[in-house]
Amino acid sequence: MKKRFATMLLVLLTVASMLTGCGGGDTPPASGTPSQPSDSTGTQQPAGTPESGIAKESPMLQELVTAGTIPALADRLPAEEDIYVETAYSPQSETPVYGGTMRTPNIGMWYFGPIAEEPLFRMLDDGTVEPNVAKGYDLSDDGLVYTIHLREGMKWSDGTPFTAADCVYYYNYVLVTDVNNETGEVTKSNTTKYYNWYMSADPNDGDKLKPAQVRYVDDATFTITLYSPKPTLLQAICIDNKWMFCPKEWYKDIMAVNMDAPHWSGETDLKLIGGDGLSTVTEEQALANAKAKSDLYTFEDYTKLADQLGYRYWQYASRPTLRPRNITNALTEQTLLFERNPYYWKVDDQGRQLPYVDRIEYVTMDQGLYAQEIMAGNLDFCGVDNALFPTYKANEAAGCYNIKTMVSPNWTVFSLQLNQTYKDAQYAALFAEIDFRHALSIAVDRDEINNILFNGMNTPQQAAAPEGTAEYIEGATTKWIEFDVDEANRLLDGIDMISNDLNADGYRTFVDGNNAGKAVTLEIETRADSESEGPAVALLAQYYKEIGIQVVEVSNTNNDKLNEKYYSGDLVMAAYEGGTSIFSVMLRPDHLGANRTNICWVGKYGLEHQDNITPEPGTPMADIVDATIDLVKANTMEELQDAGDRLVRNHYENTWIIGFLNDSASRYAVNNRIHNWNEGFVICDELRFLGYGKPYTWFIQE
Amino acid sequence: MENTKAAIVRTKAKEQKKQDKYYYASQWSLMLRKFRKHKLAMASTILLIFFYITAIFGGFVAPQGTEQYDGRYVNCGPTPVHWFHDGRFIGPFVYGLKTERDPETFMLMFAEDTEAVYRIRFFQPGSAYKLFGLIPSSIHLFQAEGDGAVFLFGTDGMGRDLFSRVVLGAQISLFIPVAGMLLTLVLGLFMGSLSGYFGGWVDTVIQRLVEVVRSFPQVPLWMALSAAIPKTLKPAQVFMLMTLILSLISWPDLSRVVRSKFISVKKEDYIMAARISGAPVNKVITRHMIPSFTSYIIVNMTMSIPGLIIGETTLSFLGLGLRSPATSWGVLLQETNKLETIMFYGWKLIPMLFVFLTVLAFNFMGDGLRDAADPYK
Amino acid sequence: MAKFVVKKICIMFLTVLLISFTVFFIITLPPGDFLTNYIGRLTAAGESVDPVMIANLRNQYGLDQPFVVQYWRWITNILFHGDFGYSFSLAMPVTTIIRAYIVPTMALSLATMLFTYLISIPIGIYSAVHQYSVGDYAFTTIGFLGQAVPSFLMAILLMFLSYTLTGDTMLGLFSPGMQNAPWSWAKAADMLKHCIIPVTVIGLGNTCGLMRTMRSQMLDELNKNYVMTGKAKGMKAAAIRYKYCVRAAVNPIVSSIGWSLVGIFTGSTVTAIVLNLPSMGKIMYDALIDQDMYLAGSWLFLMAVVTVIGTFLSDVLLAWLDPRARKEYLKG
Repeated sequence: MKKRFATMLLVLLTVASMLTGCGGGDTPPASGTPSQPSDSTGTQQPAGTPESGIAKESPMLQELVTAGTIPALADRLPAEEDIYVETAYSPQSETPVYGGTMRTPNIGMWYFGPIAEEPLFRMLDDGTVEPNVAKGYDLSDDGLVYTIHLREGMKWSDGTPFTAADCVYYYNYVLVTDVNNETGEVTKSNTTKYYNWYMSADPNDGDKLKPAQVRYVDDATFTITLYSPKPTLLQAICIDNKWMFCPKEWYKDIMAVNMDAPHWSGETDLKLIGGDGLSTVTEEQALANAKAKSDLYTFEDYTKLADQLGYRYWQYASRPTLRPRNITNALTEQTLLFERNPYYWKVDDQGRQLPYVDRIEYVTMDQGLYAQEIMAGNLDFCGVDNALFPTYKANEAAGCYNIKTMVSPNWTVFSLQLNQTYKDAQYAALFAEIDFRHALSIAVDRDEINNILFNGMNTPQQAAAPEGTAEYIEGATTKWIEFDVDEANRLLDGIDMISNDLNADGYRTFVDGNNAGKAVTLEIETRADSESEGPAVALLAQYYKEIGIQVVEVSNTNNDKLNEKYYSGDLVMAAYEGGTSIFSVMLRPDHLGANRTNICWVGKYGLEHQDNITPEPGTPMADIVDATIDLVKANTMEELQDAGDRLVRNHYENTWIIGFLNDSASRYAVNNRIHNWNEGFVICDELRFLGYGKPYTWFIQE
Repeated sequence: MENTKAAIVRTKAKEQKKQDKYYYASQWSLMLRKFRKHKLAMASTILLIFFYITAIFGGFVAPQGTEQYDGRYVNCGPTPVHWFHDGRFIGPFVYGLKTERDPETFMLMFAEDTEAVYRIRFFQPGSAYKLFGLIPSSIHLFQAEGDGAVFLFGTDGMGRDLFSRVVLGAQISLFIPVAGMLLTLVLGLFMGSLSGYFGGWVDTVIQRLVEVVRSFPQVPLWMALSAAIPKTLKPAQVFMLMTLILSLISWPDLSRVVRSKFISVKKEDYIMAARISGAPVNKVITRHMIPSFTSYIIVNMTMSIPGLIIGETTLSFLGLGLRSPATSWGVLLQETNKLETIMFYGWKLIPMLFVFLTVLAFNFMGDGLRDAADPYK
Repeated sequence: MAKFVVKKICIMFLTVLLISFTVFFIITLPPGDFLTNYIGRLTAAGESVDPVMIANLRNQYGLDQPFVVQYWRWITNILFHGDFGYSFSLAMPVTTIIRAYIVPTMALSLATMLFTYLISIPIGIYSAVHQYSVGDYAFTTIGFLGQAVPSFLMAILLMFLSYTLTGDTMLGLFSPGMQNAPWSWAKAADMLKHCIIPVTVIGLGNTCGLMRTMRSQMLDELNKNYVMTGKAKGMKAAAIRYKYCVRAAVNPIVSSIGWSLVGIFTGSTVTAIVLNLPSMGKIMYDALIDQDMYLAGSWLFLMAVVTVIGTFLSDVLLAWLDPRARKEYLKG
């Protein structure tokens, strides 16, 4: 088997590593109702050259136009009726100023990526979608064919036209190229189990899950054809495959497409999108061609090239984009500089081209420095660690910034998760005991944790959906939160495999088996860059000593190392800050279902896990796995809802995730010179974190 | 008359005796005599002795153990010790603390509750500890009675008494350098004497090794080795490894010194005499050669301790050494790596004062020792 | 002289070879190999890893080979292809990273070096000439204090001072918006402004040490007989001092340039981490933490090599300045 592009790219579930979300998911997502093409967008008066004295574009771009480097604004924007007119966050009273540079810490690719995301469709906080890059869509009556309409005359940041061919090319040649010649199925051993947006069951072929077909119609239209209806297809695209397009012309000489293998999407497609078809490039040629494009593209081998340029493209300068700003320098730089896209296709309600701010600098710095740097005015915005809230707040006036509060859909501020498939079977059996989890939950003084680590700002709570969300269950948030050491000890006394009396060090021991006589020890993994995980585990160690359980903190300075342990099953349990963000369990069950590989409690029961194991039938864990599979195969909203409800109820009954305090706020410190920053929206991966606040509408005014 | 004469004779005899004492005095008592004249060095030595004794009796001196904390007193400033209540002298005591959260910033504010008086009690039982790591005890030098809280240096972000942690941290921060120095001494003496005594290919090999080790930038190499310490080790094991790492890098300097001394001493007649009369190699080295420059080595070693203290502090500060709740001065300083900490919780810099004083004291003591050992002055 | 230099060069090569071996040993010290980490990273991200690819990578890095073979591969790649290996955490060749960071690192080190010598030598001379004066005591005190404060703390204190005085912490090398601006006087001034704290912090310990060495060297020289002779022959005190004493006293200082370089690199590592400087120190720290060992190892190796070269240069410099040293060395 050759290493191929698709091997890396198939699994787009990987999009974000951590947060998934819940908060606003109280309304069921809009299903299959076809929306009119571009309801609120593109119908307003066109943008163009200055008419009423207000500059319609940034002076920086005007200079380029004067110099003849780029065409006039009207020629850079899409066709008049197809321009995206931003009305949602356009300022009412002030006239935004063009120009300036914003500075923010660089937290990595999943920070500066989502903040500038331009998806085909944009997810809203009520779970519905609205057109973004696409102008709109139609759905056939049988619910199988989605016809996507694009904006005419839209251009990539290098001025080349953006067409349906770019979408079809991406889906067929960048995303899914690794196919089985005989069955036409994607040849990944366990792909069929994936929660992937383009998979649907084929009723004519034994309900086998098959990938959708994506076809070119004309430059402004393409179709997605499913085998069976999937009511949340567009939402799934929003979550798992936002950038369903790439500049075909730019990629064709650096993409090694294996022409010998008959392609499942058919020969005809090649001709349709490329005219004469695609040039065939070998992997060596692709590497050489990439190197010739820019010396930033010196990849070790083709796999890395495919992974980095094909999937994580927004980290690389000179790759054309549809985003408001594009990176201009090398990733190695301490300060990454993003500069405006002259061909950006959104304007405000006065027809002025967005974004207002010319540049953003992302500076790599230690998290401990954020507070002082925002105080000194060296940062324009940064996340506020809840533990440090008082110092940020106390300096608000002196530092000329404001703390903005966003909604966080987390079930708990940090959680304790016991790996149900831990390699030591005796421990795994102990973790499966519901009384053990019960004891661990009530042995903790949540009020004290709140006071020491969270400035008394939160309230004690079990890991559960907050009131007002779709996943809310009466009583779930208050389950097992009463601090009661005696009861915890009584519960542990009732577990046969561990002793009731304590050893010389004051710990319970295993009665028999390979750990006989050894203290019951929990190795809790933490991340060193988290302000609260380490201290939280230090506190847990104190509490659990009272019930005869030893705690060892294993601090991970390297998150990848931690992920590796998640993967290998070496992990006993993890204290995970902010790791249970549930936007909507139906749309993305990752933290509650059994699909991903790096969820501590589910361990190797995760269906994507390479060493996937199947739980004993009839156990609560088996129900989790079944519900997850049902969620993937669901054809109707009812089926979806039912599977989601089963997952949530299972968690309520079994408390796989032990939570401690509620986590309803996510805060950012924003310099007062930044205007148009919107407060109060939901911060989560599904909504692209800060990207949901439409950062392209921010502007700087001292 | 007779009396005066006798007095003069007596005085003369006394002076004679004094002079005799001077001339017959051993090298060591001469050094001591000279050292005593160096006021700064003496003061430093007394300070260091005080620090070390406090550290040895750390469990007794510190009111709290390493794992104790109190969620009510997070980031509390130093509590003043009072003597007079209502104009009446009642001995040392602290007032109770009223806590309140600022409604806007959620910052915990502390105010003295002048109604609640808690006397400071001496030699009373409190939390259990093991003296010298062996003898179980629970008697503490001082602590507030009842519900009172006495935080001489304030508390940290977990509500732990900073004074206790400074005292207990000294056990690590003061002894790792000494242990490291001793190990360096053994390594340095061994390698240096081998190299100096035998010369030839032994010398060449050792000198290359010395050059290699000395070519590494010290702190990065410390960092590289410390990063390889598994995070699951117990504090005692980390202590041993850190000692080893610190000394592994610092022995070449000493070995160079020893080597050059050896080469110069080797030519002396008395060494030749010892060798001719058939003394075995190890005896010549340990009995005749090393004593001739012991004072020099002592000075050298004293001067090397500050570097090791700063090394330990730096590594712990970077999170590569010991980890909380185990404590050392570097671990305590981790909390000061933020500007806002210095702005709001200035007392967290107190551990720095101790690092500073200790390093300075060792420098001055080394200076005094060098002057005392220098035969030319 | 030629014989001396040749001999020194031979020894230098031997040392570098031994260093490379040690570095590679340290690289392989942590349990597991970086490939396990790499695979873990991929799979953790939900991507599955092709066993063939793993086998290829293993083969490419010779991870299934014995230590000596791995070492040979590593060192020959460096020597013959200039290939320092691949950084797994940054997903790019180590050479690319080093190229990006070596310039600021060197610039900062050289600036510090200049600062160190420009400050310490004049002060040392002043202190020696005006022994036991108020100025001498003041500088001696500063010298002692400077050596007693760990550099990381000094950095934080200066940052705090800068913040209270100017309202800016002067982190990094540039103000916002300046980093990628074209070079201009404003940009240069901005950079100089940001250099004050790092240069002071990195150079302080070394400066204090040098100051004291220079003082004692100068004192020794001033007490020598030729000074008396010169005076007796009617030479002006100042002329003797600056024409003869300073030149003799500065010799050992010059010869310690190599070691100063070590001190500066050492200091800059920690300082760079605290002050968020775009130098290799920060990258090295992250690489160590991430166990990105090719990157960490290459950097350690380069630093050591630079030090060896520095030592070599100062040896040669000393031999050139002082024939006695050369003779002594050749004699063995």
